[in-house]
Amino acid sequence: MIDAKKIVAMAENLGAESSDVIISKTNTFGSFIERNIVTNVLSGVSEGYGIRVISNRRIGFVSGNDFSKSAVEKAIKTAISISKRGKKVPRGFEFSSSNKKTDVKKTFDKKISEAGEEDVVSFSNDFIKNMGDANIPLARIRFMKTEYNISNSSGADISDKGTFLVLYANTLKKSGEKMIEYEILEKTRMLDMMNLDRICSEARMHIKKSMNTKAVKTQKIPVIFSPKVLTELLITTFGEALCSKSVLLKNSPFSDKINKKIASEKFSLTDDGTLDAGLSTFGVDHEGVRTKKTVLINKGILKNFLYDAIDAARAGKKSTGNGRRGSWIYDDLFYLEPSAQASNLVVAPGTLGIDEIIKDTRKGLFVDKVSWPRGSAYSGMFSLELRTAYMIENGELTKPVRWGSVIGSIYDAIDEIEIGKEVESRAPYPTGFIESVVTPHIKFEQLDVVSKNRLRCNGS
Amino acid sequence: MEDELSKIIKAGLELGAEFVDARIFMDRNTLVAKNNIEEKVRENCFSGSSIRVLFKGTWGYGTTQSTDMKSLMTATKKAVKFAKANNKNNFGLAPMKPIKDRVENKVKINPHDVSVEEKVSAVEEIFNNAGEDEKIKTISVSYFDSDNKMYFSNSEGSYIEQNIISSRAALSVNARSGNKITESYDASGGAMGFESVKYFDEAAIKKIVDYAKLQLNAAKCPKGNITAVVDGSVAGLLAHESLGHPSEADFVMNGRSFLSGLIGKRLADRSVSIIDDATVNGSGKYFYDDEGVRGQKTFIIKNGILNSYLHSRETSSKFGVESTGNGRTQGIGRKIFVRMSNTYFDKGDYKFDEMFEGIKHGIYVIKNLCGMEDPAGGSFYASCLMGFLIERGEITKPIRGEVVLTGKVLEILKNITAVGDDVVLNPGSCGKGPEDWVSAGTGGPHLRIEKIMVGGK
Repeated sequence: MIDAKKIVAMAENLGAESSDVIISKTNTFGSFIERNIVTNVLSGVSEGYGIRVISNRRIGFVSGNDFSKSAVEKAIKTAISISKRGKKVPRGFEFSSSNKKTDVKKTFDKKISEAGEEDVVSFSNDFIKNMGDANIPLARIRFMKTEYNISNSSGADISDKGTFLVLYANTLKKSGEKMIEYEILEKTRMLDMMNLDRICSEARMHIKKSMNTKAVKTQKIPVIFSPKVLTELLITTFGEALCSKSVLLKNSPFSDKINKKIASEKFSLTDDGTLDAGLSTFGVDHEGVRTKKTVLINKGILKNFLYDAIDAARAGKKSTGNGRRGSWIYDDLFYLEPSAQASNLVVAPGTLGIDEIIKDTRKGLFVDKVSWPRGSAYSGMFSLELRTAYMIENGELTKPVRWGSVIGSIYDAIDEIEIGKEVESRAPYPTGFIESVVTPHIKFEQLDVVSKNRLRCNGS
Repeated sequence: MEDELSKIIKAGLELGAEFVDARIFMDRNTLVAKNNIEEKVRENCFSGSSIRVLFKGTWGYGTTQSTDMKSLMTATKKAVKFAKANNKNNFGLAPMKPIKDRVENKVKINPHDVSVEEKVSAVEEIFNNAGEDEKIKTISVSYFDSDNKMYFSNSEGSYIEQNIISSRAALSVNARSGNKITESYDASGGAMGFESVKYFDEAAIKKIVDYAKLQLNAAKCPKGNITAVVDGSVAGLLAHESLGHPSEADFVMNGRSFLSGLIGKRLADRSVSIIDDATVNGSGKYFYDDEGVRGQKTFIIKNGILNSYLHSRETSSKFGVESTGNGRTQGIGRKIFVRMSNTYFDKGDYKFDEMFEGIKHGIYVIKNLCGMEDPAGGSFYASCLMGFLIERGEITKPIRGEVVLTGKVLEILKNITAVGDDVVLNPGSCGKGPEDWVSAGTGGPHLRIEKIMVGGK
C-alpha cells in the first residue's frame, strides 16, 4: 500500500510546492447491549489519507480511502487544483521538520489492541452483571486502536498510535409509574483503568437516590458541578475561547487579556497533551508537532493561547502542538485538516475533598448531570437543564431534584469558587469533540436556579 | 454491483446465516468555507461496505473500506463469526416483499455541473455581502455538497441502487461592541443541489446581520413560566427531540420511552400533528432506508392523538406492524437503528399575526441552536438563538440569546394553543446517544405555547 512518504513524493512530482500527508487507521471491535443482553457484535476499520498541498502559497485539502496509485494521483491533482482558490498561507509558515515526539505513557494497551470478539462479549457481560437489577436499554462498547503516520515535504515522517476503551450506556430502573434513568459515559486508554465496579456502583447509587425526585425551586444558591458537567462546559467556553481561531477572529473575550486576571486565584488551567493516560494524549499532534504542556491560566492570570502551525504563523508564535483533527472516537483523523484544539484541559486541584466542600455548604445544589452541559465561548453563559441533582442542606446531600435549570456565566462565576481535590479524567458527551478534561468538582458561590416552582420566600 | 452483492449474500447463507443484507456506500463531497482569516476548499471521496447477518436471532456485522470481492468475503465471514460468538437472542424481521429498484433524486443544479471556482465565488459573494456592516466583526460562510450512493441487496431477493444528492449552505456572523459578542446564523439545504446557496439573497443576509446587531443592545432573557411563540426552526427542534426520539420504537421496546403504552391517547389539541417524512426534500430524504424499506410519511401524532411509533424491520417484527422505513445507519461499520428522517409539525390555520393576539406578556423565540432528548424522563431542552418580547399582542424589544426552553413534553404539547400555516424545513443531523449521526430535517410552522419554562444564557 502507498505510504504517506510516497504520497508526499508524488505530490512534489505532480507540481505541489510542499505538502503534508496523514494516513490514519482505526480498528474497532464493538458490541451493543439491549435489554441486558448483547445483541450485536461489530468490527470496523476506518482508514484513509488526508493530503494538504501548498501551491503558489495557497492550500488545498483532499481526503479519501482508495489507496490505488491512480486514485491517490487524482486526489493530489484535485488538491493542487483547488489550492488555486484557497487562502494564502501566512508568511513564515512551514510544515514541521522535526521527527521527535514526546515520550508519553499509558496511551497504548495491548489488551485493547489485541482484543477479539470473545473479549468484547466478555467485557459486555461483566458490565451487565455489575449493573445488577438495573435495566440497560442500550449500551455500546468500543475497543479501539488508532494509528497514524504523518509525512511532509519538510522531511518529517513520524508515527503515533493509541488505544481507547469507550463505554456508553443508558441504565434505568422502574418503580411503579416512576422511571429513573442514569447515563454512563466512560473512556479510558487502558483496559485495567475501566473500573466497572466503581462505575456501576455509582450509577446504581444515583438511580436509587433519584427515585423520589422533586421539582427544584427558583432560587439563587451555591452550586457544585461534578466533573461530568464541567467537562463539556469547560471545553465549550474556556477551551474554545483560548484557541487561536477564536483569538485571531477576535471572537474570544480573552483576545487582549494576556497577563490579566480573568478568574479566581484558585483557578489554574493547563493544556497537557503529554499527560499520562490522558484521553487526548499523543506524542505528536496531527500535523507532526511534538505535544507539550501549555499553561493557559495560572492562579487566575491568563498566560497563553493554543496554536496549530498555521495559526501560529499568523500570530507570529510557535505551534503549541495542538494541531488536532477528528472526533472523540478517532475514526476520522484523515478526514479533516488540523486546527487548534485543546488536548487534555487540566484544572489544578484544590485542597478540600468534595465531602468537605459539601459539609461546608449550608444550603446549595449538587449537580451530577445535566442534559447538555455546553456554554457560550463568547460570553461564558450557560443554561443547564438538571437531570441528576440533589439539594444540599446543612452540609449534607438531601432530596433529589430536577425540572429546572442552572443559569449563569462561567466567566463571571469562576471569580468565586471552591475547587475539590479529587480529579476525574473525562471525555465530553457528543461526537465532534476531540478534547478531554481532568478536573475536580467545583463549587460556584452564587448561581441562578430557575424552575416552574418558586420559593415561598426569598425567591428571585 | 448486483452480482458482487449476490455472491456475498450466498456466501453468508452458506456459512449458516438465516438472513443476510449487504450495502456498499460511495460518497463524494465538497466543502468550501471562508471566514475572516482563511478560506478552505476540501474534497473527500470514500467508499466501503457493510454486511449484516442474522444467526439464531443474533446480529453480526462485518465491514470493509474496500469494495473488492476478497474484502467483502472476509467481512462476511467475520459477520457470521461474530453472530455465532454472541448470546442467543430472539430477533426477527418483519416480512417484506423483494424490491428491485434504481432511484435518484432530482435537483435543480447538480453540484457536479458546478466548478470549484463557481462554488468559491458563491461563498465569497455571501461573505462580501454580509461584511458591509461595521458592527459585524466575524463572518463564516460554508457550502457543502454530497453525492451519496448506496447499493443494497438482501437474501430475500431485494436489490436497490439509490443515489441522493444533497447540499447545505450556512452563514454565521458575530457582532461585537466592547466586550460583548453576539452571534446569528441561518442555514439552507436538504436533498437539493447547488441551489441551496441561492437562499442567501440580500434580504436573508440582512436578517442574519440584523439579528446579531440587535442583540448587542438587547435585554436579558426573562426567566420563568412564560407564553412563547416559537418559529418553525424551534418547532422543528421540539418535534424532533421531544416527540421524534421517544417515538423511535427501539426506545419503546427497550422500556426507555415515556410514550410507551400511549398509542391512541390524546396528547395535544386536535390542531397538532407531528410527521416523520422521508419523502420530502429535507436533509432526511431517502427513497429506501438502509434495510431496503421504502421511505414514507408517518404521522407520529395525528390530530392530537399519538398515532404511530417509528420502526425498523426489527422493531416492527416485535410490535407486529409494518416497518415505517426508519432503519438507518451512519454508514460503514455502524449499527442500523430506528432513526428519524424529516420530522416536523404539520401546518395549522393561524396566520403569523394571529399567533400573538391576546398575549399580554410573552416571548417570541427564533432559530434553534441545539437540543437534547430525554425519552425516558420526558423532559425537553432547547437552546435558541434569540427572542423578542411580546407585549400586548405586539413584538417589541429584542432579547439577547441564547434563549433556553425546557419543560415536560406532555405538558408542553397540551399547552400548544395555536399552530401557524407557514411550515419551514431546516437541515440538520441527529445522533443516537453520543454518536451514530445521520442527516435529519426538522421543521414546522410557528407555534404558540402557553407557560413554557424560559431561561436565558
